[in-house]
Amino acid sequence: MSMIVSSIGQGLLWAVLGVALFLTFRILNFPDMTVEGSFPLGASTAVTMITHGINPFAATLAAFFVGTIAGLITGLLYTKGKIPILLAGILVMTASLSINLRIMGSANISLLDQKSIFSIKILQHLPKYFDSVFLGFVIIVIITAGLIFFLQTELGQAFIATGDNPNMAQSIGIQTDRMTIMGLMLSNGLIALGGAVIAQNNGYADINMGIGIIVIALASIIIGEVVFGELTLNERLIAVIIGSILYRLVLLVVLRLGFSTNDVNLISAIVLAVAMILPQLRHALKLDKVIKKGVTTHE
Amino acid sequence: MSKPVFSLKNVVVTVGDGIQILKSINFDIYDGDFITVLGTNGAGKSTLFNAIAGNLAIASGEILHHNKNIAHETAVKRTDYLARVFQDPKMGTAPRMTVAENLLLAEKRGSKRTLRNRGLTQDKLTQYADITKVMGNNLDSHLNTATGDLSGGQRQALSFLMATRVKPELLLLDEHTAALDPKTSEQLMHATNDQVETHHLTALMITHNLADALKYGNRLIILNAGNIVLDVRDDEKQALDESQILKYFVS
Amino acid sequence: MNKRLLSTIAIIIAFLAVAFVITSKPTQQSRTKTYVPTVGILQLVTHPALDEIHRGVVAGLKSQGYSGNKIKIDYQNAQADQSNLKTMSQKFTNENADLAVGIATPAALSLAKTADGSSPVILAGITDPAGSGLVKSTKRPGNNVTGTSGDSPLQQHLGVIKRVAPQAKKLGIIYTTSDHGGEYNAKNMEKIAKKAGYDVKLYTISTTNDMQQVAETMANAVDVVYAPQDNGVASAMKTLINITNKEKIPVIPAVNTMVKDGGIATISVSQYNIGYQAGVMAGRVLKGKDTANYPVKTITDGDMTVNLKQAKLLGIKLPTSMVTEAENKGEVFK
Repeated sequence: MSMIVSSIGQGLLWAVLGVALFLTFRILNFPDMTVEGSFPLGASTAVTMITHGINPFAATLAAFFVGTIAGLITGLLYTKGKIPILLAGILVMTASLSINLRIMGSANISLLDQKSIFSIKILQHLPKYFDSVFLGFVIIVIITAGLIFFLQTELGQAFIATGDNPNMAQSIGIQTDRMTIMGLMLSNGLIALGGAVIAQNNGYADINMGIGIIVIALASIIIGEVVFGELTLNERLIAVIIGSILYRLVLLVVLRLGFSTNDVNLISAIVLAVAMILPQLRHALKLDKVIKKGVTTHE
Repeated sequence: MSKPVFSLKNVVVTVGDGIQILKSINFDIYDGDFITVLGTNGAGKSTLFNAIAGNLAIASGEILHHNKNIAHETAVKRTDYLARVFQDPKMGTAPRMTVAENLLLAEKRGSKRTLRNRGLTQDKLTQYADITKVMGNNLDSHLNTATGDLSGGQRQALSFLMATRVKPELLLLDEHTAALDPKTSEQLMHATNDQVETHHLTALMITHNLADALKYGNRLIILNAGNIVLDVRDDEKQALDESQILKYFVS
Repeated sequence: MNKRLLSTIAIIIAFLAVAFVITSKPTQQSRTKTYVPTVGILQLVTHPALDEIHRGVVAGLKSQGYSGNKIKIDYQNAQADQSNLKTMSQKFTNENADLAVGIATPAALSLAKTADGSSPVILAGITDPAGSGLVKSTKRPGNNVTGTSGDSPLQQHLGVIKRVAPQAKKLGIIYTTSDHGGEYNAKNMEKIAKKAGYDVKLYTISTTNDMQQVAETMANAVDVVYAPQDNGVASAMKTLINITNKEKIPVIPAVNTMVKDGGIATISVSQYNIGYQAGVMAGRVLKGKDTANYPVKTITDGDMTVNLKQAKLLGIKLPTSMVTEAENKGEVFK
């Protein structure tokens, strides 16, 4: 029972990554590899600051800003430098490996005796693992609500249009380069924030934390889409959160079935592959009507 | 005759190794002109549009807007006063967004986009129902449908509406009915003409259809190998017929 | 909102509500006479030194009476994947492990965080436990963590370097940037080697993939190489040796397993012994010894280990005293 609670808690914490990646992967329509750099960047920033006595909430916020800088650089490389987006992201990701070492000073910083955002009074009296459920819930709700609000503003609509049809967007006066940079900054800022939160939950920041991040974030998005099908944009963001929880639950089942934790990577890859093939199967076998990736909102 | 809204002075556009696509174009556009543009393939019609819109840099010359040279303004900046409808129905609308959302986006052309809510109210929807009804192909009952699910004719009609939602100082119609079937094409052409006349729009329209070129608009120009070889208006234009035009197509 | 989405959210919330109520009540743990304790052993990665520690731990536990059906051992190997550590640590907590053993610093850190001050954690061969924040001090650990520390006898290693390569002036030290223990030992060795008059150059790898290139650069610039107790370097030892052999450069490593893999010689603190002592401590804690006052055991007695085959390959004549010492009290690899 506690393991399921723990999975839900982890799912809520990691959902930040899914929601953040949604902005670039689904709305802007390109794969952003920067995230494997901005995640540990956020973790190292926050943990280093905390070990130097800075308030954990301030440190977590600082992590967000550091992430936006990473996104900014990728954005500039892509829009002004004309470097293909995949490479631009990889360049920034690689550079951040060295930067992280500089920030941390060593490969691994522990938070064992330090305060973190999980040290606040309210969380201490909760039953096991409910601290991550509670805090994870609060964080993801704030972020998702913020995004939902943003996407329905004039700026947010221009942002969506940029990803949907950049030429058309330009022809109605949208500065698509600026929109792209903004999207990368917001997305990576959130990823870094996620890194800071998870590092505090794990109790340490480690230089290798970023490896495999993009797959975990993708899993939340894809599972959410496959399980829930056709949804409005707002619903899809919520589906990402549920997708993240479902992903953790699937991992839990896998472990319970006797697979070793070492098989986790293989299992994740299989789950993702099946999730992505499933829609095609459904169409080919005419089981369902085609899942349209509609960004329609009804009011 | 009043001063021209737009003016091209000695505009030359080159490509690659200095091959001139447009050879020193001189051309004034007056307020309210509805100019049909004819020409052979490769004559430079689309290049002319690209130069005016800012998608192509000019090699020399000036493009004046109210006497100010805009040749160095970016294409996005020029959309403050300029709108364009392309031949490909897919180019003018955002496929994953609804008809209503696309119209909302078009409404912000020329103004700053802020963090205010986009304002898709019931009033707005009613307003949109009215304006889409005019175009005649059922757009009004599809306000909440993603444009990717609409037919080519519907998307083009919508593109046209979007281009004119905020009245542009110049409307560029780049063979905008060419990709549609004859019936839809005629329908859109009719609606286009209505809108241009009703709202007193200044427009340039490229077309391959000689009949349309003669029927619509108050002015006609023909491009041949990068030069304007004919420029007639009003009565002179009325008096022309197809056989007379054909000779301008010979190189 | 979409029906399926809503119902899924409802199910999750309902579950959480139930779980909240149930887990709020403290559960009684019944300890019967035939209680079989569960011990979780978490190893960071597979390489000979850590494997030796693992073997030692199991043997140490056995010496305290915990073997066969008197104990349940859950052995987990994170395969160098940091994200596995948390999952595996939580697994131990969830199966109510009575004690956990951490092999390598990141594993120990993860266990300590998850145990959160309550369940005991035994360190097996962690370099610098106080510096990592695992214990308050090695004399009085202060909480639920204690164990063995395998401090590298650096002065003695320096002695070996002098004896094996008396003409060497330039010393190269290679370590992995992400290995706290490796960095700690490398930097300390740098200090004492410099004092002893060596021209010291530090080389780093961030992953084992870097070993080829870094080793090549190093081999061209130094006379002798020191490989400290470092998990990354240990994993890539064979690559290192391939290259140093080409330049006929001897490598003095920190532990016997690395000598077997191609080092020349060292004074090795037996990894097996480190694990064994940790296993013994674990056994005592299971029987009720309090960890807070159980000092961390730093094991520094080392035995001479030599690799005669390597010496022959490089044309080095090892001092006879060294070989005899190894034959009598240590290990000789042929």
